[in-house]
Formats: sequence, structure tokens, C-alpha cells
Amino acid sequence: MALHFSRDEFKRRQRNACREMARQGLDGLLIFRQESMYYLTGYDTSGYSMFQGMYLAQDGRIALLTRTADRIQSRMTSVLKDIRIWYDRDGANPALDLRDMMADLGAGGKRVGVEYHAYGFTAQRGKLVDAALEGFCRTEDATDLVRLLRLVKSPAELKYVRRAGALSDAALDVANRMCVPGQHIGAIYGEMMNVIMRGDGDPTASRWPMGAGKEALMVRYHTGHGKVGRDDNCVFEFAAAYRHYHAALMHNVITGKPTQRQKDMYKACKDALAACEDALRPGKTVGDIFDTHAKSFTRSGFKKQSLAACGYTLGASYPPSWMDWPMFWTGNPQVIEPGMVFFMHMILLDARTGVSMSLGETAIVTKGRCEPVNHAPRSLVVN
Amino acid sequence: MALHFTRAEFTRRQKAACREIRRRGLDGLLCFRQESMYWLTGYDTNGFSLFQGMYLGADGRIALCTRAADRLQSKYTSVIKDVRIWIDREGATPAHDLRDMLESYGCRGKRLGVEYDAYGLTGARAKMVDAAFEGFCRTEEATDIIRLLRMVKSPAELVYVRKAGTLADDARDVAVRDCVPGASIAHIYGDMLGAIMAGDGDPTAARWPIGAGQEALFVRYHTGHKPVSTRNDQSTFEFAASYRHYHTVMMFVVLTGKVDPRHRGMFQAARDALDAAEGDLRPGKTVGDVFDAQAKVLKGSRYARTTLPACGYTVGANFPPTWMDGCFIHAGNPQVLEPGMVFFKQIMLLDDRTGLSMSLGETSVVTARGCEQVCHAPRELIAN
Repeated sequence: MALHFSRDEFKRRQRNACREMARQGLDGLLIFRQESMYYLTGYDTSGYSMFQGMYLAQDGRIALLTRTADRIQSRMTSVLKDIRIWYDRDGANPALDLRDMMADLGAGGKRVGVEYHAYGFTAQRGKLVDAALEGFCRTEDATDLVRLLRLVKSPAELKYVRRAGALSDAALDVANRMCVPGQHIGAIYGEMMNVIMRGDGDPTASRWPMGAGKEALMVRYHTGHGKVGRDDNCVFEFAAAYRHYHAALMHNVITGKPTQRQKDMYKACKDALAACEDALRPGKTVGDIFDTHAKSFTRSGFKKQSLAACGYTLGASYPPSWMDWPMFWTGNPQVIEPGMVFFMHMILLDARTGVSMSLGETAIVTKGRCEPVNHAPRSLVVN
Repeated sequence: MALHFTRAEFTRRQKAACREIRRRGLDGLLCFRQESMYWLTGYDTNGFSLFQGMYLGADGRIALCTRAADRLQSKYTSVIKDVRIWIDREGATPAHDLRDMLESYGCRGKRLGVEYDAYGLTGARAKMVDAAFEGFCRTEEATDIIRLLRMVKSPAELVYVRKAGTLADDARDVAVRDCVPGASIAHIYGDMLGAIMAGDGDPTAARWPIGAGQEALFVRYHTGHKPVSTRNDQSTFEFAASYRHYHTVMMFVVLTGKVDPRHRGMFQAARDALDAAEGDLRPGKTVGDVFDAQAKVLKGSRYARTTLPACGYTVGANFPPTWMDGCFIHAGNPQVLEPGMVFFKQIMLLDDRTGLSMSLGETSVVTARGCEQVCHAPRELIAN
């Protein structure tokens, strides 16, 4: 067995989910997000790229339907006892196996919440399940039920978040040391991943937007990296994961002599990050943090170069993305509470000149000042 | 611009897709698979975790609807000229932006194929799209159009596949060298990744099932790796290397300490079965034939009950969360093999009664006469 939380903690989480179902008048929850499965039971797999589903009845009974490949893995990584297998064959319809399993757990004729927004649950699979459940039970979207419970982390989860923070700091050191003219970005990337893996971390749920020269303007991973130039501006947007909990970090490294414009942009990012971390307190809303970011960039004269979002919450996430919801954008009403974890990124993109600058780190909300779990450089890195 | 294929090749691919779209009586195709977008235009992003969609008309016109974050990225990485942006806000319904884009291409009342089996198009997003298209145009499932075209690789694609094969061999060398009694699996994993990245590869589309002891029976990635035992152990390595997103996959087991004779028997059986599968991986055979070839070898052996109902799949340019590109090698799969297809074949013997595990797998290109191994799993039992 490889459980990363106590059985009591899993029980507590399941009970909270059942209580929330009762509050919403749901008799059960059909779970397709790997994040929810890991949270509720410990079940740890990449098998969600194929069809699988979990059902949690409001009375606490829980069962998983998956493929043979996950039979042993689900038993060894989770507290699940009821594991059913569907078999690959041409024309297989695992949604019918799922309905049979739900019938055994008393879902017939009931009102069931469904996690419709799950990467493993493609539109095609969604249609398969809708057709199978037609006339069997009533369904409605309930993607948010476990997501909202996951927002506030327990003390045991926060330990992993801090550990991920330390690993991302170690990767930051590698980036700052290796990012010199002539160095291949791919080699830096490999060493950063290596230090995270050696620290018992995970390859992150998504790949990193990193690049020198023109590639610095890409904010997504892309294949084929160039080399660091002599007067260059390299962007590093990366994360470390520990037991799937992510801590993200973002910064730029300048080679050669920084321009006054770059120095000004850096200072604007630093001030904005400080303002956001100061504002990240219980009682504020997620929208308030975005507004703080926007106000700070307005003050420094860089509003036009700033973006329409400045971060998001983080937790235990699976590929293809470590971005969890909510996102920091204006008007987001989510109220901030202790135990939530946020990545705040201050990004300036000057489309006219092609100059970019950024600074971002991850912090835990506490009763007072937030606790940053990693540490972006507080002075411009120049190599 | 960072195009990894010539413009002529992208044009050829788009033309082939349009031919197929017309053959099926469709007026256009709505792409949601990142794999299709990369193949048709070069567009390279992980922005598919948020909502985006690409349109390819039967007339060859092409347009993308995505978020602001991908505006520059789509310009730098692809041949797409028409990129529309939808704006994030509370309660945004980007399916309306997508519909507006299609409207400007004259899609109202037309018949469109849709890639419904795409990780970025979750069940929830599909409901948003279907609602927005209600009464606007007719849609039907067409996930297979590009998937099937992508199965046969061009010479330029095969160059990348072979390069990925070389990187996988480099990573294999790290594992074979470093997996010794007491070694840290996490260190080996890190050094394997380091070798692939230093060789200009990509972090693969999925994470690797690697593990010692009981974890050697896992066939999926899991967090938290135990070290190799200081005494006798088995460590499973199932991994891939990726170059320009093209994957080659490999799988094998490293034994440490004193070798259990049962492991030798399992290795022999796995090797014979893999040889049989590779023997049938040639043009004219079906994917089902490849499954049967290895099943025949294992059926008579004492390991029959430890096998799985599928033994591989096709691979190509893939994005997270998986490099498994479909067309699973299982009984009865009628797909006919053609030169230029690429398959990963894996023989896995997982015995949860004895707790012993053995496996062997590698990636091959189907050629005119047979197949070409692009990476090379050890053909002798590794005992460190």
C-alpha cells in the first residue's frame, strides 16, 4: 500500500463530500476527475486517459470502474475496496458497466451529480454515459462539488505544498546558475527536472513555457528550444510537484546588460507582487487580488502591458494542466480562506517592442499575512 | 517562426484532410484535438486545457479560435493566418465566439464533422458547443478523420520518430547502468529525463510507470517511488522519449541481486512473444493479427493468466495527458497495417499471485517488407 494520507483523512474528505451532496439534494456523485479520485481515496493513476468512473453514494458507499491495467494500481494506491473492471474489445461500451455498478449502489431513479468537466471525460465519452443513464437516473452537472472542497487544504496537504515549494526553489537555483550565453534551454530544462525528481518530486502536470529570444513571448510549452543569447531575456515559468501538489514560480533572467526599460518593468512586477501578497488575506475575494494587480501596474505606468488574469489556485493536479480554479480575474467572487493556495504571476508583455518581464510565486493563505512557499528573486537576475 | 515541417508538407496534409472531408459528404471539420492542430498547421501549445477550436473547411480554408495567451504562440508556431481571440470573463461562453467564426466562413446550415473525442473538449464544454450550434448547423462525430490520416507517417515525420528512438535508447542506457541494489528510482528517473532533454527532446505526453518491488506491478505513473532493494528486486521501466512531440516507447525490467529462476522463464516467454509480434508487424497484416501472434506464443506457456487483453498501440505526435494514440493491439482489431505506421508493442506478464513482473516492449516503424525497430529493448535479461 502506498497511501500518502491517513485513512482518517480520507474518511473525513468523503464525509464532507457526502454532506455537501445532501445539502445540494443529490443522492450520489459520478466522478471523472482524477483530482477528485486522488483526493477522496488516494487512487493515483494516469489511467483516466481511458474510460473510468467512480461513484460515491450519499450514504458513503464508493466504487470504481476501470480497466484491467489499473486493477493492481487502484488496489495498492487507494482505500477503495469495490473495484470493477471493464474489458477492452472492439465496440465495448463501458458506460453500461458504469450503470450496472451505479445500480448496485442504489443509484436507480435517483438524482446524481456528474463531473462533466474532466479531461478524461471527453465529449464522446460524455455522450456515451448520457445515453446509458437515460431513463436510469436524473443527472446534473456537479463538477464544482469536490473542486470547492479541495480549495482549502488540510495541514497534511500543506506539508506537501511546502515540500513542492522547496523543490521549485531548488529548480530556480539551477535556472539562475545555468542560464548563461550559449547554453541550450533544453539542457537547463533537463537539469531543473532532474533536481525536482531527485528531491522525490513528480514531473509536473503540465510542461513549462521556457524560452530565450523570441520564444520568451510564448506563454505555453512548445517543442524545440534555442540557446541563450548574449544579450537575451529568458523566461522561466515552471512548477515543482510533490505527491501531485504543485508550487509554481515565474521569473526572467537577463544576459548581458539590462536596459533601463527592463529594470523599470522588473520593479513594476516586484511592486505588484508585493501588493498582491499583501492583499491575499481571508475575507478578500479572488477578484480583489486581480484589481490590486491592475491598480499597481496602473500606478507604475504599465497597465497596457499587463494581462487580463494574474494567477490561479493550485493543488494536487494531473496532466494536462496544473491550473486549478478559480483564476484571478476581475469580478471573481470567490472569497479567500485560510488554507487556500494561490499562484500569483505578474506578467508584462510589450507587444510593440517584444520585451517581456515577469515575477510570480505561490503562497498559502493564513489568518494573517500569506506564507509564500517559494521565493522568486527580489532583484533582477543578470548573468 | 518555428515550423518543424515545410509549408508544402502542411499543404499536402490539409489537402488530404479536405479530400476525406468531402468524401464523407461534410462541409468542414471542427478540430479539438491538439494532435490534429499540430499535424495540420504546426500549431504547438498546451492551451487546449482551456477552450479552443480549429475549423478546416472542405474548401481548404482554416481558422483558429483561442485565448489571448495563445495569440503570439499560434502566430510563431503555425501556418494559420486567421486567429480569433475569445476573452476571459465570468460566465464567458466561448462556444459563441467559435460559432461566430464559423458563421463568417458560411457554415450556417452546413454539415460539420466534430472531433468529439478530445481531452480538451470535456463533457461540459461539449454541452456548451452543442447548445451554441443548435439550429445553426448539423454536426456529427468525426474524430477519426485526422487520426486515421496521422497513422501513416511521412518521411519527414519518420526522421523525428527515429530521433526519438535514439533518445529512448540513451535513457535506456541510464536505467540499465544505474539500476543497482539500493539505487534511488527517483534519481534514475531524473537522470533519464535529463538525458532526453539535453538531447533536445520533450518531456513526454505522459509520466512514466517506473518502480521497484511491488511498484513494478504498476503500469501507470504514481507519485512517491521506493528505492531499489539492497537485496533482490525487480524494477520495471516503461518510458518514452519524445522529439518534436513524436514518441517512441520502450519497456523492460531490471533485476537486481540474486535472480529468481522464475524471472528467467518469464523473460524468455516475453522475448519470444515480442519476436512473434514483430514478425507479424508488416503490411497486409491486421493489428488483430499482431495480437494473435504473441497470444499464440503465451497461450501454451504457464504465463497465460498473467497477460493483459491489449499489447500495445500506435504512437505519433501526441500531447498530454497520453502518448497512446489509439488503435490498440487487441484481438480482432481490423486495422490493416501499412508502411509508415508506427507501433509500440509490449509484452507484460504481471503475476499478482507471486508478485513477480516481467515485461519487454519497443517501438517499430512498419516498412515495405517488415518492420524497423527505432529503439531497442535489451534482448538479454538484465541482472545488476
